[in-house]
Amino acid sequence: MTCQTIQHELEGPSLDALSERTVQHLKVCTDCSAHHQMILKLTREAPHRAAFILDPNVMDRIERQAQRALQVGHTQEHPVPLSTFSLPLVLAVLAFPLTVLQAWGWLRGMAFLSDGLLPDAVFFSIAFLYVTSTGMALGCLYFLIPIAIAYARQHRTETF
Amino acid sequence: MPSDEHLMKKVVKGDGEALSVLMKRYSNRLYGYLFRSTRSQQDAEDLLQDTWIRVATKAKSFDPHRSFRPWVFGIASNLVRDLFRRRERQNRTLSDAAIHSKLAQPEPDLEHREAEILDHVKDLPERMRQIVLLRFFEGLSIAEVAESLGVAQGTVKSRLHTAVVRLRKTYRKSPR
Repeated sequence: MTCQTIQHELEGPSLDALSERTVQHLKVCTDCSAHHQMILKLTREAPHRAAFILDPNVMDRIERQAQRALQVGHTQEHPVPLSTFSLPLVLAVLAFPLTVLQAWGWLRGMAFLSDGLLPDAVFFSIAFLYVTSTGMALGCLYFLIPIAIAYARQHRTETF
Repeated sequence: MPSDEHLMKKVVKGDGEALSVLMKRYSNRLYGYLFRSTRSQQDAEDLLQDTWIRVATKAKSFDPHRSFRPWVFGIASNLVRDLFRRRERQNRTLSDAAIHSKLAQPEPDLEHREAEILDHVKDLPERMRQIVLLRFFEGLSIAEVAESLGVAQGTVKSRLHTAVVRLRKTYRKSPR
């Protein structure tokens, strides 16, 4: 048994029931003996027996606040009505097809209007920029959805 | 007498009476822990209020299969940690006399010893101080301390050991 093992034993719950080997070790090892004395000082002299009593007025105030928080929390826990998030949900679902449809219409209109006026390279560059930026915006939208859900969950069930 | 966990089940359903019982059981102990941690009466009272408000509002996140005591001390220690982070560069101290004045049922010898030990404990790094306060002053087990602070039991044991070794050194240097 090393000194570290002994000292861990002293810090554990069995301070009142030390093994015979530990007791013998404490008699010969000054380091472990000093450790033992320190633990005894912390567990028996410091301790939890010296209770603190809170001022009753303060206690009443705290209790009122806690009761109010409980009532508010309890009344707010009703499930969120479907109507509050159905519109954002529908928009999120339709975002992709709507964007594709819009891009298609925009490109078709531009091709029709600028036919013969713009060189092909310029036309395709503009079209490429448009599609890329739209794609990135759409990608960001969908990327944010799981983050928003995780954020909402974290605030709903905070763990300590 | 209903268990803490049984009362928490009622609190989840909005039972104010159950919350009151829990508050009566734990407020003084929590207050002692918060006062020893912050060494400020005002901070301890504010944090105690925040602790119970969190218990009331976050009751649903309590796992009834686990013990209430480490959970509520965990909330309190998180609030202490947040406070210290906010005031990282401030060193708010309270004289021993103030600590003495807050001890209930004065027992001169005990008061002196508690203040003396706290005087040494306050020099420990915050993460070690929390462990020492929870383990020795509040009587939580290693497992409960680990649960309260959200760290592994091995981490608690290791930090506790280092803390005790440091306390031995400071006592040897200046047995205040």
